[in-house]
Amino acid sequence: MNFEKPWTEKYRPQKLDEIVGRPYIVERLKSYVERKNMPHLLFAGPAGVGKTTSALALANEMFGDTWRQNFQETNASDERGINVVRERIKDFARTMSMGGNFKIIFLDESDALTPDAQNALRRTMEIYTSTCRFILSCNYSSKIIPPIQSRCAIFRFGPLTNEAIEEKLRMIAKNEELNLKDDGIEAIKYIADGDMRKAENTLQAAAFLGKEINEEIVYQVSSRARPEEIREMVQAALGGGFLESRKLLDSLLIEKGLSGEDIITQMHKQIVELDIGEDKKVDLVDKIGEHEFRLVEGSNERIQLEALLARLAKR
Amino acid sequence: MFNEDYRPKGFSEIHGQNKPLKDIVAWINTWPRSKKALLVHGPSGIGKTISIYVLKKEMNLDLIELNTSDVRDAETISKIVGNAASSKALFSSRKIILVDEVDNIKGRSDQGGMRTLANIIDETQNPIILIANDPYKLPASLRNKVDMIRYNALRPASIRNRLRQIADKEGIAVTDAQLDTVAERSGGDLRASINDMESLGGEITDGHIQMLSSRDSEKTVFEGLSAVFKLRSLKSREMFFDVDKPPDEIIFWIDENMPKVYHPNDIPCAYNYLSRADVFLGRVRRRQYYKFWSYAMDLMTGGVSVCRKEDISFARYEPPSYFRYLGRTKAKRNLTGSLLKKIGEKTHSSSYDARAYIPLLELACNEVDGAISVVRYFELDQDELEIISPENARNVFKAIEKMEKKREKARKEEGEPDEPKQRRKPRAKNAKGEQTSLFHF
Repeated sequence: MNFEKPWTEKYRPQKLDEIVGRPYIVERLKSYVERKNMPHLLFAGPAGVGKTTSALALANEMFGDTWRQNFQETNASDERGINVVRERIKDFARTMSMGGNFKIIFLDESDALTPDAQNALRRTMEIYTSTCRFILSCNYSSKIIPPIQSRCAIFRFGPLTNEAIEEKLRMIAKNEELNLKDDGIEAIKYIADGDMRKAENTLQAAAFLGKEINEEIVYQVSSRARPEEIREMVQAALGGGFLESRKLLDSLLIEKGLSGEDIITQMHKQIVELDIGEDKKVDLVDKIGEHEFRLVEGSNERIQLEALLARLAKR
Repeated sequence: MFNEDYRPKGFSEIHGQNKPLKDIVAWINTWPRSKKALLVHGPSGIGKTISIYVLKKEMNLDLIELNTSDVRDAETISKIVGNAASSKALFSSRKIILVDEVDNIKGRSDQGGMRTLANIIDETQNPIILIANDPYKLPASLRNKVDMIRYNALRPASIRNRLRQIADKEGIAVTDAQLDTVAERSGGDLRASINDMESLGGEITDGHIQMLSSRDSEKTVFEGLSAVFKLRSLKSREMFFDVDKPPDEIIFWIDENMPKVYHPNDIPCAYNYLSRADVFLGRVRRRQYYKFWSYAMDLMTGGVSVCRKEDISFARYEPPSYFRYLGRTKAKRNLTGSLLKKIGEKTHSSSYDARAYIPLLELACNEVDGAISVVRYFELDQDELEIISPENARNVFKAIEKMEKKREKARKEEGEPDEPKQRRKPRAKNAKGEQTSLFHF
């Protein structure tokens, strides 16, 4: 398979109606397009859930052919000082829109702006409303100062549902003529955890290995173990079978070539589903976290994971 | 935008703020009976700035304005505000100087802005109005020079009335009950609730209203807290997946409320897990390795949750008092920094080592005379002196002011020309008019 461009870009929705899993948000954004007007917006939510896509699609529908001239994308985490707001953003804000009533400034990762820069922004937002609207995106709206929140309509983007991710994956698979198996879809959803970008990247990676996308291939390209393998290893350790669980660990590390961090992350993810008491679960999370810390500090991954498995057995 | 389209144009369109509005008019009309500036303060989105614009129109004022989107260092302030302050208005209209968001004059780019502003207030020939969210973020030296008028958050009924007017004009189909919900969610912020209504579009259903993310995310945090305190399960973490706050903030919410509802027997275990969660937060901070957040979250929620063995007692959940405390002391902490820096400059020591001088200076400042010398030597301002000598600072600066006035008067009586006020004497000049170098032999 040839690499043309990332599927996240190839299949990025151009129109609001193409956005999956956000019916209410899309409906509200479409009403702005109808009225040819909008307030400042604040999009809050984790990575890969559609904040940028929604802003782009809104601009596309709002301005049509001239949307590129009327839409400026600035990543606040690259340049986060007050001078960016006072100079660059102000400069763009004060110029007239081409063929529209206003233009849109999309400020990505705006929670990376220092509070001083945010304060400088609040008046800019108000002074230039005749020429300009702001869409701010951030992970947590509580990192945005109250005066700016007050100037914006707030849209909260939660993690995407598995149904939304499945809908999109099936659409892409159809278009790329992939044979997407049910267990393949389940595996991608498990890995993506509500993050569409991760889901699409995983699918594209798997497609390099063949037209058939099944569980095995998905776990292989994303360097993950199958959840059952992890569960088996943890169960063995909990039951006191250290040597057995170590054998399973070795097969993950050596045969599958997983990193210690990958394994430990997955162990953490599985804890909540184990058939043990809640006290014990929390205790395990604490231990797992501690050993991941030691790993990050540069310790030997096999020793650390062995020690962790051994500690699981201890009552 | 509704907030632009329906910007109040007259007194009658400003809702729920009659009292402070009247007070402002009275203040302007009687100025300069009060030699001070006026500080209008209160939370966001309730009509502080717009009130002044409306006054401009209704009272035919000539308004000179400076806000945070401009650089506000000493030079800019003295150029714009200083000029306006010293010249009378053209024609007969009154000139008013407005400095909006005065609590945000800070940072390196706004160096010296506060002090310049305080000086201009002393000398202005036109009334100066300042606007701020939090008056206690201002340095005491400026706060001593203002009269304050407070704007309160609006009652939901006032907000609803305004929303109703706009909705009717725009032909938006919405019930009073729905508007009440929008109003209540805004936490008293009219501008925010107008934005919310506009964002809902032309036809509003209850489903839409539920979609509005609650402006006070406290509600969702409270639901999360309930889950933690009741479920006795690691699953309680799931209630926080949708809370719009980062873990390093959530931990303080749990810390605030857990000991109020947990039985004393359960508290040590719960705090052990909060402490473990905090260790992971520290690791995130130190190495920017955000994956540890997931462990921190699990331990602060699930960990605290499983520690509960006894019944919980009833208590109202409250936001973290620790934050309020930090907010209050932040100004003071910054100030301590500037004080230590000045001491360090004169004593050739780092800010850290400069701490060693504090006990000595405290003793020296016990007497007003001693404090005056300290102020002169280290070039302190009143706020900085207040850290060393809270009881004397005011008197010391009054005394200094008196002495300076006296000196000026004496100079005038001797018929010398006015010299600009200067704290330090210019270095002696030699016969050629060149400044003598310290190393001139």
